[in-house]
Amino acid sequence: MTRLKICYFMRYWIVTFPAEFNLDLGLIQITEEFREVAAQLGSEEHFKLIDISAIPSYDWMRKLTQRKKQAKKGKASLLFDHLEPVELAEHLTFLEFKSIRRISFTDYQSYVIHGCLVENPTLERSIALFNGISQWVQLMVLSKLTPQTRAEVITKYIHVAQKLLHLQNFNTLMAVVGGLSHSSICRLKETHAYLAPEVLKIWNEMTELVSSNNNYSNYRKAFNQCRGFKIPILGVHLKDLIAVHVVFPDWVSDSSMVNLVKMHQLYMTFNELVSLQSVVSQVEPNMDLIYLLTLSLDLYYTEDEIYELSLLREPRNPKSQPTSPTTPNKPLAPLDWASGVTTKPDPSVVNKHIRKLVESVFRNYDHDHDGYISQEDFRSIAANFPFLDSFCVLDKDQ
Amino acid sequence: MGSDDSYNFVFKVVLIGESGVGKSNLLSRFTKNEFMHDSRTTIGVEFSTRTVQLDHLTIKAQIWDTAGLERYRAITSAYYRGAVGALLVYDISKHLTYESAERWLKELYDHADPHIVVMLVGNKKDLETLRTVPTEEAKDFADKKGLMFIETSALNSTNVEAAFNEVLTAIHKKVASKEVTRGSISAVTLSGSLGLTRESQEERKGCCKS
Repeated sequence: MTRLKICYFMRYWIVTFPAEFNLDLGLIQITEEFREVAAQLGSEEHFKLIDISAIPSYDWMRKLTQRKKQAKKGKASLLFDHLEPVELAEHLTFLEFKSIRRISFTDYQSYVIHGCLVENPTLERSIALFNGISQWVQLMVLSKLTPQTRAEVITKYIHVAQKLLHLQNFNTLMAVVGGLSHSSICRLKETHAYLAPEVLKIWNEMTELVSSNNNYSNYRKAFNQCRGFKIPILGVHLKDLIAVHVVFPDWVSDSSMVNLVKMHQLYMTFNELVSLQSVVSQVEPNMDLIYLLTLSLDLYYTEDEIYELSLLREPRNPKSQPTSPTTPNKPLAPLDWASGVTTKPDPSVVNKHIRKLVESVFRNYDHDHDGYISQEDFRSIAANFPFLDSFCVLDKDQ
Repeated sequence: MGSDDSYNFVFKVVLIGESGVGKSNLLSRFTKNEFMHDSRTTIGVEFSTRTVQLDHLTIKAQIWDTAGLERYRAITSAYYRGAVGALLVYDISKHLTYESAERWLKELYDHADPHIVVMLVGNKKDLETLRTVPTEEAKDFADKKGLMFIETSALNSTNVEAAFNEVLTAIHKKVASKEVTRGSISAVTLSGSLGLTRESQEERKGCCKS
């Protein structure tokens, strides 16, 4: 009777988390050994319950790139300036969802146990996307020369953030708001003067929503109230998992019983994250725009470089400098520290993206199909990559 | 938490350093008595405050742990804002975690108050046999950079209390001292009218007048 119960328990596990029984080799092996034993000791019934052969392949979760062929839908603008906030939000959500749903239970588990990324490319890529979006937001703002135009870009991103909230994509929302509240942007006083009061109000609300106050209580409340498709702020939940893992012991009562309180806490978070794999995204992406965004987000800058650019746009006011003798000496030499995830872009991947991008650009802008696009179009598309100077110079003639 | 009802100061302290150096363990050691476990889980695990007595003052230490978030740039830079103290933690058995101290320091000074009190903390002192960072080397580095220094073990609680208490004392000294006036340590948030004593109001005058 107990044996049968255990087999039913196994069945429940298999049915609830099929991906793990397809991807985790250790788990597969143990299950198969267990099944052998069940076959020897029990009846047919036991044996049948522990069948994992019918689980569909979850190999897609391992592959880092996989793209669906998409039927071409008319001409679309690839210019950031022309894109509506809702389009940007939807496409960012598509990228986010695609990246986040590949992270398996085992990847999360590995991160929590090691406390860092160890052979965890799916999670690493998701973090790189997050950081990429934050930097892209900052660079797009800083690419504009006048305070007024920078304020326009900020306004646009505030609206993108609003749409992201509407789409219940909290992870990208955090990345965008985080980018905007970074010191390189929030120090731009002249730019801020051009922001409309209602925009500032929304910005404040968004910042409050994802603020870390009271352990992200505003976010948690909002997230729990959302129904249907939603993407959590991954980092916050990873932090929870690590905290629970560190604070509670695995075993209680002199190591004789599993710590159910801990397991329940872990389950609540894991369940939220793993269930992302089975939700369906409603976004119908324009793949050309996706390629463009992918390339825009892959470009890597250090925080120093971005901050220097910010100083260049709006130099420091010497009067506002703190002059106390206790001010620690800031290290002057620029450190080549690549903060965060250093994804040195693989040249072949970048080339592939560039090739796809060029194809997209020509599909959309080469109106007479003669292999040329107009100078004017070229200049405006190049504006999507504000810091690719060499790229502009080299290719202008093509 | 009843002890939170009255305090003179709230100090925000951040725990920074590479992932896996034991930041969360240090924090859970320090705040164990006030550890809150919310069974509804909507709030998540919250165990980041502890109230301590320094001389005649009650200080609430609000400690922000970045464990698990180290790589999320836009999230972590927000953590530094308003911090008046920082524990920069490395693992004495992993030299790489010590080498990165300088980068963390730079990032901290970029985002936090310039008067922030920083302590370099060599954690995992219990792993003496695996030590790769000599105490003297770390101490020299700390002296050169004007940081406080201590070695701890979250595993057996060695120096955990001392580390936090020394940092809190140093912050309080700075706040109380004349050289720190308006415009600096601005983030020291005094409790509102709630539970304010006469002494703390004097403190407040002392640190806010220009």
